[in-house]
Amino acid sequence: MRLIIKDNYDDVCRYTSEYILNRINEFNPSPERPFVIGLPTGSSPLGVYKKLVHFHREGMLSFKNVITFNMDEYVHLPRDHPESYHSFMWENLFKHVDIPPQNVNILDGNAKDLERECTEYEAKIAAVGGIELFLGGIGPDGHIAFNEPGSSLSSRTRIKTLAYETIIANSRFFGGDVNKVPKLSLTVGVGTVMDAREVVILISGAGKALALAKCIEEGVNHMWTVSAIQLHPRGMIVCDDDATLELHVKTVKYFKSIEKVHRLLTTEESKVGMDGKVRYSATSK
Amino acid sequence: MLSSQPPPTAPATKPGSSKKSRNKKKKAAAAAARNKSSDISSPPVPAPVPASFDFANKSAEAEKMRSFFANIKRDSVLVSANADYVHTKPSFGFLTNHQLHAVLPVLESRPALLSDRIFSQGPRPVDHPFSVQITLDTLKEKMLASPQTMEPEDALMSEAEAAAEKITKFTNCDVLRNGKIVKDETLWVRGGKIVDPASLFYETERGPDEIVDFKGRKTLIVPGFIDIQLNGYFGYDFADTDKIEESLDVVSRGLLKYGVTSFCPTLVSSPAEVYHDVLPKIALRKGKRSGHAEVLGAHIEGPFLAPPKKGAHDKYTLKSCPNGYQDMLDCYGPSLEAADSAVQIITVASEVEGMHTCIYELKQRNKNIVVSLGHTQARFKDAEAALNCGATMITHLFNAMEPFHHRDPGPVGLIGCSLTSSGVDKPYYGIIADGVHADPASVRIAYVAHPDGCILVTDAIAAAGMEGDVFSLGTMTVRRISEVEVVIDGTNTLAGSVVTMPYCIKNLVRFTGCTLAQAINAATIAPATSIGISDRKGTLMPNTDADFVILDEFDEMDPSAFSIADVYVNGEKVQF
Repeated sequence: MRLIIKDNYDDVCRYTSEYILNRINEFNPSPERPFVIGLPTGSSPLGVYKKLVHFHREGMLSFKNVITFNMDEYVHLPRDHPESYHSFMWENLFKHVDIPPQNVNILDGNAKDLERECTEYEAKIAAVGGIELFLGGIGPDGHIAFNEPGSSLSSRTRIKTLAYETIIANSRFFGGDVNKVPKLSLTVGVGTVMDAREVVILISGAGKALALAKCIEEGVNHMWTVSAIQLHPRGMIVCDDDATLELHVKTVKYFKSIEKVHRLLTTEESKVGMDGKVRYSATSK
Repeated sequence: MLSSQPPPTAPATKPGSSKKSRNKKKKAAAAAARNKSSDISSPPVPAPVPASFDFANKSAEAEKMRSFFANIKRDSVLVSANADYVHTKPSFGFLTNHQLHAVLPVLESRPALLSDRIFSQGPRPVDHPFSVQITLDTLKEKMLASPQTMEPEDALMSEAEAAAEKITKFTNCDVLRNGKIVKDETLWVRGGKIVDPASLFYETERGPDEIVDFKGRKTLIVPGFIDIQLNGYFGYDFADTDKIEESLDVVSRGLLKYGVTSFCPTLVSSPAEVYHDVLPKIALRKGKRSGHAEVLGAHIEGPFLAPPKKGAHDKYTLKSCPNGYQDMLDCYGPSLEAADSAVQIITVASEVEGMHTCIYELKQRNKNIVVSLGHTQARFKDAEAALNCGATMITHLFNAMEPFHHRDPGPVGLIGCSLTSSGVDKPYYGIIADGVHADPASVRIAYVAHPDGCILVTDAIAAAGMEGDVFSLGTMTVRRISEVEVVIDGTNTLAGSVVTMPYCIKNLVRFTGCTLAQAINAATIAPATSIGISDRKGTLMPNTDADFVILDEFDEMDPSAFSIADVYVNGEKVQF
């Protein structure tokens, strides 16, 4: 697992968006071989989306051959409700870029058969060849997507009841009224996220510090579901200084030193790509 | 590649036969996938690998396939996206049994999910002991070959339908939506209506057919202007009832270049026969027509007006309504009560005998008709009473009414009255912002008192848009004495105006100091709301009519400056 520690939220977003930009462009997606990416919602990825839109406007990034899968969606919230995750993704990303509508996949919380919707979602992911990169955030209780503490670490896409703490946290988007917040959601499972070939988690702010510490310094635990990233072959966490407040000093120094070396390696002519892959060029011996 | 496990009929790993067995496996998987039910109903029975797959007998094959899969001890299946994995280096994905059971039933009903997509990682171990290959492109081939997999959207659409379904996206511009400027926004149009792009994106999964990109130019898209009071234009007078069709046609085409995409043709006071004659004709012409501004209902100004305040109206046509509503019905004819009436606004003087009951009854019978107070000598109390009876608008504020007096504000005072005293909302009021009908200072006072109620009207007459000095207005003769001033020949009485709507908008900004957006609101959302059509005009919200104007050439120094670049009516660009 890589832990990238940046100074502040803006740097976290800049690093992550540049990482995604380079990953997509190095992958060089085509219609036969699209880049499949998993996307989160919430306040953490907003900066990343803004920068990705900026890259698109500058002509550096095209979404024509990118397929997206979102993590979650509320159940029985109208799709055009301003707080639905469909609206969120539209306003913050899809509106501004050239992604074809058929490449976008978001769980439908108003489907007639919710369980079938979940299994179909898994099927769609499998049908396109699995997710190449899953971007995610983390909750203060260490949850990924809506996999609240206690969720099975091998879970798949399913209906989930929201924890009361999450409902309270989300009520700020519903006029402060907890009764208006949806109580059910469809979410990808921890297993679904970890099935992706790469997982990138954004963690910023002091409120997430304890969660980060529990997830990377302690064991794999269903109480802190992001800790499943410890078992993923290519996990990466991008966090800011505030989020490291609960980590051991040793941990922070260690990861910072690794990244320093990595930064020295990743130059234009270097043999190591942004994702840590070693590149073989024609001229190398 | 199937390994050499128990079933003796399993083909050996010879290149030739392995390919055949692979093909059989593919067909089997296709057959299994075709089967709708997803659960494994049969108990796990050690089943040999079927020697051949009978494609025609789908359900039996699917059954065999399912039970075969159920017997695989390890829950893994390789899915290859490559047709020929022996000679090329394939990439494989890895599906757990759980996923496969999820995938197969869905793939069968959603063939669009299939693709030749190759996974990005390196190849997984091909010789896994319990692995089976399903080649996706073969599956896809088989499924797409059968007719029932055609998606309904693929059915051919007629050309007209296709044209109506064309989606246009305007991007990199600012949009004045629902009264507020939204910066860096997009506007989507389909079939003559504004569409919500998010719904379009998620429901129809279609992107735009045409993109109009304003990148690099500061552009503002605003709703088409709505003029609820104009008596004629380009030499045509609506009161000239013989030529009403021609007048409406010429005016509705000509107004487009001023950004006016819908209007209420206004009739000055006329004898009853005229209304009986003309209103049905207007009813016929009412509505949309390609390349023309939309004709909304008529604004009937009179004849129940106060003779001392007749302005340019013919005094012999003015009358009162002592019999209340019946007089009004007699005067205007049965069109008044028609379902899709040609009447939109009626201007009355509230102090005319019997008018209060008349207004009340009119509103009871037809909620859509707007009663507006004008050409009146009413005092404030009388005007307020009329408001309580159902009047909701004031015709050209300040003009043809009692002036504002601090102890008796007259009709003008209605824009200052509070809800507690009158119990109803403050009325809308028309303003002719030519600088002549009302002094800029008066306009400013009115605007500040009630900004949301301000409606810009032109009250234009036939002389507008024409060169020359002498014109007719109804039965009167009028003369133009300056660029914007028109009076009754031989008097100083103003007789309508010759201004254009953009000029009025610019003036409102200059007179009141409001923003350009607010001034445009007074020409769009305010008139639309006042006559009850804000659900389809004036806002640029989804599902409203696609009547809009593209403005550019703004000036940082001068907030009122703008220029009309393009006008769209019903989603079609207007040529002018």
